[in-house]
Amino acid sequence: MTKTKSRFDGSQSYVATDDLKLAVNAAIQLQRPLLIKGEPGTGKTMLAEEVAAALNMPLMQWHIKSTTKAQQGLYEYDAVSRLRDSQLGDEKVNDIRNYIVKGVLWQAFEADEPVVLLIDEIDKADIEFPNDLLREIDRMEFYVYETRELIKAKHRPLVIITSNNEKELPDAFLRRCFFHYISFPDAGTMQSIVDVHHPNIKQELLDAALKSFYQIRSLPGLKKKPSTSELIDWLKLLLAEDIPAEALYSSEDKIAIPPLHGALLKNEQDIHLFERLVMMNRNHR
Amino acid sequence: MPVSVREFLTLLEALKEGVIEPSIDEFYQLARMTLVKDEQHFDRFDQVFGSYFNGVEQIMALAPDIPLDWLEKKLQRVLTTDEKRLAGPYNIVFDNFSNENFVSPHYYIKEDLLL
Repeated sequence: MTKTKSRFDGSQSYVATDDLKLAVNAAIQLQRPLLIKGEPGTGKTMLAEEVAAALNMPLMQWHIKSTTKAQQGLYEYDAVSRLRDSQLGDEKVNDIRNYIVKGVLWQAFEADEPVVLLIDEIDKADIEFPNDLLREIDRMEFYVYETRELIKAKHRPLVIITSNNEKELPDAFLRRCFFHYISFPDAGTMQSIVDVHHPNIKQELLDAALKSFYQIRSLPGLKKKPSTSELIDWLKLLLAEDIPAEALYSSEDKIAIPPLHGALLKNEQDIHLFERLVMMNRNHR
Repeated sequence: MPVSVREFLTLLEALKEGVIEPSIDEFYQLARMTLVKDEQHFDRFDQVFGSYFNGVEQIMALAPDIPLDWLEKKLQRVLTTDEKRLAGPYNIVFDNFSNENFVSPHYYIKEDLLL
């Protein structure tokens, strides 16, 4: 197994904070999996794509659902087609290898160059799922019982795991990972993130938009706070509709209803709450 | 705060591999990502780290100002012959020069911080 000797320093289309870069580089150097947690929309999945692009490594993605089993990432034995082939008298049926379907981990292990392996939203699966992958991620090998062979990784892949924190992950699994929590970007970082996506936006409009965005986020009792990706979409809409910066200004610290706020608030209870708060503010004037 | 031996060993390995520059900030980040696996423990980690490393940074900031000869002279003064022999591998030049009256006001200020 060879080591990947590269460093990640962010990229043109992705703003990475210093501690995130450090986390990625430590994971590369020590060849440990990197667990990324954070609010939805803070760019967890994007990170793997950007790391792969920056290091010039292929990206393999394994998106986890509530029904995903650890075994599916390794391989699956397709008994049904074998049964059908046996009834048709197909020659293939004598070799069980024809019915082993390789999973994402297997493909990552047998790749000729080191790859970035993204295990996306690991918290969606059963609580036992991460435990079932301990040996595979630790030793980078697994055993195929049907053919009695041991599959070993040619190159240790860089494993990036994301979690939305919907379930607790088992301790044994956590011990083997580096952990990074992507906190919600502050106004300065947000500015550079927006610059990456909308380089031609007017500063005046951006300042006003960021102000009302952080105001909405700070409202108490919102079910779903707007995230970075929603801000980016909202700015895109504002630009497309050519809305002037003045429309976003609110007097003093009072909150005004910004145009197209449906892009930020995705839940009718939140919208009602928001409108009620704005009305209350007006009446107090 | 739950921290296992394995995580501690990972931290040591990372330090040995030279993942970080020798700075308090980077060490803080590395230690946190290796040892703490739950963001709700971040606060507790910060407190412990803060109380342990309180004041270290000031010494780190002062340290580069101290000329090496001063340290060597200091060692010549305080070490016994046996200790000098043991320090051999570290390439410190010891002659029989021993100046008990070696006084520099600057030197004594630093000394308190160092030892």
